[in-house]
Amino acid sequence: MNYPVWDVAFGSGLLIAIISIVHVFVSHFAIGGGLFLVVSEKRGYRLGDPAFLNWVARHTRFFVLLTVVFGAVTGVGIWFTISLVHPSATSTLIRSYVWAWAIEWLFFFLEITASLLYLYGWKTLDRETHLWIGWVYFWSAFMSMVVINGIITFMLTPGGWLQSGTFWDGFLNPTYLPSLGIRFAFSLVLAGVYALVRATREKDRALRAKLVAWSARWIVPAFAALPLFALWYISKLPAGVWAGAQGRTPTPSLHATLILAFAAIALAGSAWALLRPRRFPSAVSLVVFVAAFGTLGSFEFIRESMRKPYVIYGYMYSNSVLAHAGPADGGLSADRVRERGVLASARWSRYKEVNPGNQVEAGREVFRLQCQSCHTISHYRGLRELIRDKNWDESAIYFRLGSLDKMVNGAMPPFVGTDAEKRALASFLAGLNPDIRPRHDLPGPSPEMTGGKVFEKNCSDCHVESPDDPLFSRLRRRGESEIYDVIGRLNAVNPAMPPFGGTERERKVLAAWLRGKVAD
Amino acid sequence: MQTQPVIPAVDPIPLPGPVWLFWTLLVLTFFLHTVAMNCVVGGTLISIAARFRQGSPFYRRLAGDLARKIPSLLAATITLGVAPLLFVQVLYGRFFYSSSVILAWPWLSVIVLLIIGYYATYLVSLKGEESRYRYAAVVSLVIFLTIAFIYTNNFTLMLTPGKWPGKYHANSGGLNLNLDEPMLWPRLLHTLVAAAAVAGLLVVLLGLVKWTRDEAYARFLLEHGAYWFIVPSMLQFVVGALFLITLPNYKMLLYLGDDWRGTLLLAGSLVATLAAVLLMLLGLRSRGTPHRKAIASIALTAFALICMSLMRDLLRSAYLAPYLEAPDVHTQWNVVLLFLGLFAGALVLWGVMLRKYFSRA
Repeated sequence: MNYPVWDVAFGSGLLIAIISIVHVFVSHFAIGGGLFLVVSEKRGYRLGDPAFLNWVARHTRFFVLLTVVFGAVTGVGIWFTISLVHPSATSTLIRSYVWAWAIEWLFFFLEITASLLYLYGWKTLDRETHLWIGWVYFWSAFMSMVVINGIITFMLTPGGWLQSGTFWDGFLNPTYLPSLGIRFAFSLVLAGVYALVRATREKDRALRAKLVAWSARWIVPAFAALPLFALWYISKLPAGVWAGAQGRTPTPSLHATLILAFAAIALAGSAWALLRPRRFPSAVSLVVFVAAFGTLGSFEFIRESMRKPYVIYGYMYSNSVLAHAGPADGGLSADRVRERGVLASARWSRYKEVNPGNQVEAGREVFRLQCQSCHTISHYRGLRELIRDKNWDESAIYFRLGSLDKMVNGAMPPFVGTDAEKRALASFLAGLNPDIRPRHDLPGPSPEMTGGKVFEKNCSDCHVESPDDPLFSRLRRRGESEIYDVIGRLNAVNPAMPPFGGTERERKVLAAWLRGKVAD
Repeated sequence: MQTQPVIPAVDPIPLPGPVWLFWTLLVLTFFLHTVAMNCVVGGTLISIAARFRQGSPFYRRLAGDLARKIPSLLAATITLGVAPLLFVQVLYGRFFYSSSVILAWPWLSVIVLLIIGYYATYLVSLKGEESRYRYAAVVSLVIFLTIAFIYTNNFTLMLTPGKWPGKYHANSGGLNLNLDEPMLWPRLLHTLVAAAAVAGLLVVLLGLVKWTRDEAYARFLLEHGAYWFIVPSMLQFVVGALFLITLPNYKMLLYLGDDWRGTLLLAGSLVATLAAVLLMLLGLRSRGTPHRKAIASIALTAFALICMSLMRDLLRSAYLAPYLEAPDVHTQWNVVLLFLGLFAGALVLWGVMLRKYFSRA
């Protein structure tokens, strides 16, 4: 809102996801792989195995070409991308953690220098010096993770920083250590996974078997440690964050399933490599590779989507609106924007107010300012399809905008802006599917319509089927006719609720079903 | 199109360190980045030119020697580029983010281009002079020039907020450039000509290092490097003047008497460049070893580059002066000291590592 909004038709959030996941899959390898190289080199000397050492030297070249070029440049790429998609959040991170980044840069500098010297030193250096440079490489790479992990975890669990604003309160936050554990374990997994794929390409069968077994020894124990770190991580999440990530929120729910599947496949594949290294097929190493990629990707997706509706938890919403007003907020906090209106508050808006002549266009502008950081019109998290599936007409949309922060387990920020802006946005969104008719105009329900389905269709955007949910707790021990009556005047019960959008028969079915749920 | 400038509000979080410290780190790391970048761009150019030169067999050898160094120099360029990119966001984030979003796609394409150009340099370096991959050097050069062009677009647009709304509202999808900027081409040319000159000095330095082992080749390197240094440096007097006169009048006058710092810096860089060229000529004519004169020439050029980095900074301050406010500073000294301590430690470790490497290699 403070900065120009970059219009990316396929979704700027997706752009960040793609670049970040590709980067982390290499940057974690840059850490674990460094340890893998020095430990393997030492092992080669101990066993006096020139073929093995020769392979480690060739693996170093692959390692450097991948991490120093692709890994480093995509790392800069994340930075480029977040500053284009989330300039306000990037600015917050830079101002809070410039010294952390500066320190990380020192380690990065050492890391890059050491990796090149380690690569070129295979031919020219004595064993001792070469190993020493390898260790400098690994420790620098590890330390750069120690630093950057503080900034990444800060975004999800800023801890005491929210009150004090001091560096260490945010840096050493509740999820710092478990996250470091997850990331380090995963970097060991990746060290083995990359080595496994390359090992299976070896022609010499004895060497191949030796390398396959050696790679698997890096994957299996580290993979086995991952669930422990994950549980520790979850235990350190604020209760609301973890609860919010479950159930109805689509992204983390999907990826929670995916991560288990991917991890099981990767673990099974690498266990195979460990137990039967001589007969381990090359194709399975690729399966392990893809599954490991999926595991890490899903972890990053879960972490990012748990943070919703914030980009910096408790401080800044995903759409750059500040959660709390402050003396220097530049008029960009939720309360101030609510007062002044989003169009007037945003510095780069094409329209400064809604008037009868610009209703839809101003609504599009509100969409760009408030929704576009996560949604697109019809691609990634596209609203046209969502609205069509839900069959929402303009008034249904308008009411839902009033309780955005209650929908999908609270994954969305509240709408901030004037009522006229909310109406303009609803009118723009409704215009995406001009053929939608209000639900009560539609032909009667199909015969199998049940109360559960009516609930799903009409109430589940904001309510969950649980005795603690206000819908159920407030209707407790009410009679069916009383419930039927409440359904008829939802908007009077709570102005944030839309009027019931179903047919007369659906209303009766729902009342009966609810009665059954709250009767005890 | 000039309209009312839209300047983003200052971030509510105070700066975590004194402005002078961020400024020093910005100018220092930018200068180092420039040196490495010049070696990459100019070095690739010299390597390609040498590859196509007939006559002495030394040309092919030089082409190979340079090509093998480019990947490590590029690693240095990127690593040293990250730091000024960090500090420029600290001091000028509001301007930098705005212009970057306006040029989003060209700006982001730098990442993809860089990866391709980087691998192209490795292809040449690893596959060698005789392989058919040597022409990949041309691909990397074109890419580096494109990246320089995009950078110049962004870092000039950043200075002129008046142009932002017009460009942004014409294309909010980030498909813009800053082609209507008068200083764009002269500024880019100024940078690239300097790159050729500095890379000429890299070749000279290579010659100095190889002097005792292979004097004939070393002397060739000295002469060829001096040629690449002297011709662009003299050309720079024309290009630099062109750059100066494309600046708005009062900004040009900063360097011509209106501001003592700007005037001193311009005079300093001119005198240092002339003296560096002169010393290099003397070094070429000397009968004995040219080391002292050549190294003095390199040192003077480094001084001229520092002057130019400071002039560049002065120009940015002049452009942004109407919009800059004294920032709210809340220094977190314990972290600053941690950084400075680690900085010193990293420098020592870096030096030890290089010494170990080169003494044992």
